[in-house]
Amino acid sequence: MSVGEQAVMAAQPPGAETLSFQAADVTGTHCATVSDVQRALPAGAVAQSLASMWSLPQNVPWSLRNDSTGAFLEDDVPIGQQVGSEAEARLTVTPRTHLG
Amino acid sequence: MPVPNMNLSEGLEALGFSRVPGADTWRHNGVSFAAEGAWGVLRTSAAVAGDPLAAQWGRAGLWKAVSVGMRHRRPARGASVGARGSRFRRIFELPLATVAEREGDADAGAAEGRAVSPFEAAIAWGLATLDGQCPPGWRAPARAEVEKHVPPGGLTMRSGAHARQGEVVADGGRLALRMAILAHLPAGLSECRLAWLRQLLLDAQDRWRLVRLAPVADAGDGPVEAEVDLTGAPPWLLDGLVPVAASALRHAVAWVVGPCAFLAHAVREPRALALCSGARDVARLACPAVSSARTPLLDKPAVPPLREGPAVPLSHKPERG
Repeated sequence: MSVGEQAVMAAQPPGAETLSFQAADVTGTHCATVSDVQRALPAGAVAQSLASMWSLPQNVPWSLRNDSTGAFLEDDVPIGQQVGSEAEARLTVTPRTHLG
Repeated sequence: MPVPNMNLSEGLEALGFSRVPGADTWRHNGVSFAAEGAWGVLRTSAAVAGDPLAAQWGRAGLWKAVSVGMRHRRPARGASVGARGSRFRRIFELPLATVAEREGDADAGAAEGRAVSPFEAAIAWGLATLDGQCPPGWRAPARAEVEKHVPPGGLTMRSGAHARQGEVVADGGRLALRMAILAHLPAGLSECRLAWLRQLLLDAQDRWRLVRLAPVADAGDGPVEAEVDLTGAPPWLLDGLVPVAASALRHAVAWVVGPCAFLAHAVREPRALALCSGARDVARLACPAVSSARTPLLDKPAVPPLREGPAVPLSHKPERG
């Protein structure tokens, strides 16, 4: 992932905390260090933005999965509350699908 | 959308406005009022001096500068619009539905010992913030109280690869909804890119109701933000106005964030911007100080394509003529 793609995600209002993490798509085709993400952003919005940045299908509900715990992040909850202050959090953009 | 069924004349006349003969416009002390669709619009006749983005940024109320002919009516044919920079006028736009739904509500109006209609109280708010100052004695409600009026996700903007989270600013004499467009401008942006950025922000401010865009510092490195300032608003009005303001903010930022990120990107070389036709004009319009910059010309402007076309209930079309 280029520096440019990282910058696209960046948004830091004055005084707000931000976080950085390692992101990859579920196939491992794309990976990047994403920085300056607003902690107040819902995890679902971050997942959809990453999917859009990587030109993944937009008619799929994408979610973030924490690689260290295997748990999906809650889409509506701020990402900063779920990732915490881990310096090297690794998140995977994963389609939220139901198989039957 | 039709104008909500309200008696506008009564409230306006109580505030000292008088109707312009033969027109649905009222005037009072250099301020005019007109109902346009679902919006009530106050306009000043005085020209805005200096940077139209800086003129109202951070000041109290919904006032902002827009260009003549966009949402500010053109002056009569033959009338002078004044010197350079005077093509901007100030405007205060109020969604009339937010006051119409409170008509008859006893909580919505009592001032100076007499009952006032919600519409009159809302227009009085506009007049009270005409100078950009917080009305005396007004205090912002608690932030949590304001956030109750924001619908779920109402301050989350997502447009393509861009995601932004807005916030409620409630601090004593200040109440606003604010959203970052860019965290900071890279230092050393070229004059050409700064000029395009200014023009883009001016265009967004013209196009989207309620929303003000931050002035761009010449030196860069500051944030670029959008805001809707509700300082001085009657408390009962927030119930209806905050959701509209949040929606306006989301739409405006979604409209402008992609091109802004492109212009501010330090890696991509925007050679097309420097070469495009009209770059010199853009520089002159957006920042008179750089109008002397010599810019090579080509055939077509290179304004980056907008990635997403959100529904535009809060935008408007430029006035013809």
